[in-house]
Amino acid sequence: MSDRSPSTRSSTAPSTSGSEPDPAVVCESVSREYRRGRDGGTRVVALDGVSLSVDPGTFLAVTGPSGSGKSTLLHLLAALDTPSSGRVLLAGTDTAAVSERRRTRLRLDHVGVVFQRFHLLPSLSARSNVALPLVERGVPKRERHARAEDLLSRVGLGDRVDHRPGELSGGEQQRVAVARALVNDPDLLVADEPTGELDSETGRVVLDLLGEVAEDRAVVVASHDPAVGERADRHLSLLDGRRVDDDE
Amino acid sequence: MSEPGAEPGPDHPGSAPDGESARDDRARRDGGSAPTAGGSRRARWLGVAGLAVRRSLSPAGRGGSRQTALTVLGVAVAVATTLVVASVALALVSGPAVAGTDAAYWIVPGGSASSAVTAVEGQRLGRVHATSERIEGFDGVERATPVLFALTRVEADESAPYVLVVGVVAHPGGTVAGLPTDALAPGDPFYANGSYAGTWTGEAVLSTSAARVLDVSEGDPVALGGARGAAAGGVRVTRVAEPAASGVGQFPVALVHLAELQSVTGAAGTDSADQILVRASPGADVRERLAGIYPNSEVLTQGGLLRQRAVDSRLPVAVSVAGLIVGVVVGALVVATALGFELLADAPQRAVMAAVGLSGRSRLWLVAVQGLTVTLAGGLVGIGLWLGAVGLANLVSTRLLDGGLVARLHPAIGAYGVGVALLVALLAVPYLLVLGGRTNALDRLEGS
Repeated sequence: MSDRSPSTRSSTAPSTSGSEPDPAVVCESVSREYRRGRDGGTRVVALDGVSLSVDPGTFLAVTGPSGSGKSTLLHLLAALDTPSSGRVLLAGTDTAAVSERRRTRLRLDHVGVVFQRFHLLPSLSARSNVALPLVERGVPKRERHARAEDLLSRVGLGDRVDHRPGELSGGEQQRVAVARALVNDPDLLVADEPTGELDSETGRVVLDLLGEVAEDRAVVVASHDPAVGERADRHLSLLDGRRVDDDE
Repeated sequence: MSEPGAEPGPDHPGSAPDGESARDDRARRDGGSAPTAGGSRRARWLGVAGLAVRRSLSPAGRGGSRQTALTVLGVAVAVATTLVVASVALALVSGPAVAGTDAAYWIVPGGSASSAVTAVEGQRLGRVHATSERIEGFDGVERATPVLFALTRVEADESAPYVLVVGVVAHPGGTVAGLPTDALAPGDPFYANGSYAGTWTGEAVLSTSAARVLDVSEGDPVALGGARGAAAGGVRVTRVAEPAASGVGQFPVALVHLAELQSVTGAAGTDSADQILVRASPGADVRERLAGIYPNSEVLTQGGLLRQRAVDSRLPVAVSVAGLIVGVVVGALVVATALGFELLADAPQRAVMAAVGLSGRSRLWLVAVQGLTVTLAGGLVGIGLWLGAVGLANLVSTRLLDGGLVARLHPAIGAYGVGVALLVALLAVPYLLVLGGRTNALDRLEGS
């Protein structure tokens, strides 16, 4: 994480000068509230005034008990959701200030997402799952497949490109999901409990993979798994939506 | 990136050099293979469409293969029903003269093509014997025969039902109303150059249904046109035959010599008939010459006659339109309901697509193509069902009910089936788009 003040950054254009890389994502006093209950009268604060900045080359572990706001923070970082107050700057763009269409494009251009339950499309091969984001870019089929096969080889699944998710183990599916998250060469990769459904050995393989990814991009992982904390080089702890521990 | 758990390989990413972004460095490292934002829109639409087709037809697709199968089956039944109705309607407009003759052209009085089959009243052609002989002299014409239709009582020992009596000039190997003319003496002996004093053959070929209603068999006498027919001369059944083509159905038909029927019906005075059937050599086009034979006459080909009669005849058209409306509405309801449920179940997967960057437009295009694919698949299966249903109906009709073909197969009806499926998709897909557009990525991902 950077120690720069997030508030000094532009909301629309990241700086391009200087030797330090631009942060992949910046949160400025971000809060997220939900209205619950039949009449929407119950106010739930999922995240409360969290600020952070994540630079490329950072492996950030977000930890905390269930309900502490880990997933909410990841959703905000990945532009899957927008804050109730504060700002999330993804590639210099305020995610709440743009349309849903633009947010989708931001995700396509700058974010890779890995889910706990893999969320691969069961009817598609591993190759097609990985190539899915490239479809939106209008990349020709041959090129899509070549890039997907290349990534699958790099995650050790070069001999599984034609297998469907149902024919792969949990660890293999999660590696396919990581490859899919990387296929657009994102600046930021967020992973929500990526080892939550894996045994310890398979989880270690996936974490090693994420560690390699983090060498030249920002990786943010939310997890209960102590192994994630051991693997990460930065840590952020949440409790009741507030940041309670930061090792920066 | 190297194999998981292994040490970083030679292609392992290093830190970005000063002045260059990490993305640029990664792209350089990957040999310039990093994707750019400038992809082709066509490739994008095609890619999403391919994705939709694979998801629609894949047995592992969406966990909703049963819903897909039900949708395909529902559309298939709707399309097949529509096509069967169209086939029956086509059989209705395919009257005996059309379906049961080997003629290439019909010369009929102008005004209505429906006269080609059973115009027992209305305009007729005159001097038909001489005209037919003249036509037979044309290059490319093999033979021509005038045909007179008379819906008249035919008396047998114990019954006198109405029978469609068809008067013809007999030619070896000829077929009219599905019945063979070579069971009659060649030519038209009673005509005798217009004197109507030649040999009265008294021959009649009966369809099986006519023989059944008259309760006669070969060799039995019958009388045409009541007392007048009996006075002119008796008729004896020379052959009972199953009509060779569709369109006759179970309606009783009798084939006799033209001049003998003319004398019974009073048409001998002007030597008139309802039409002249002309058989031409393959490849010969004599339509222009035939058109000049009679003023105010029409020359029809078999295909043209079917089309014109389909338009002129209201009942088959009404039946077809009703079948189309029912089929399209039922098909659209099936698609909207079954695929609608499937879309709701499929929402988490579309949410994943949204999460990885597929735009709303792409996801709607995906839904549209899925709806179209499933509907067209149903249409193709429906065409198969239609073929089977028509074959079965005709088999039952001809073998068990002793009738003719009740439905006709035609390639155009198959193409019509594809059109019906497209119409179903056109009605159902907008509803699916509304449903598909309600997907919220985050809600669906959290709820899955």
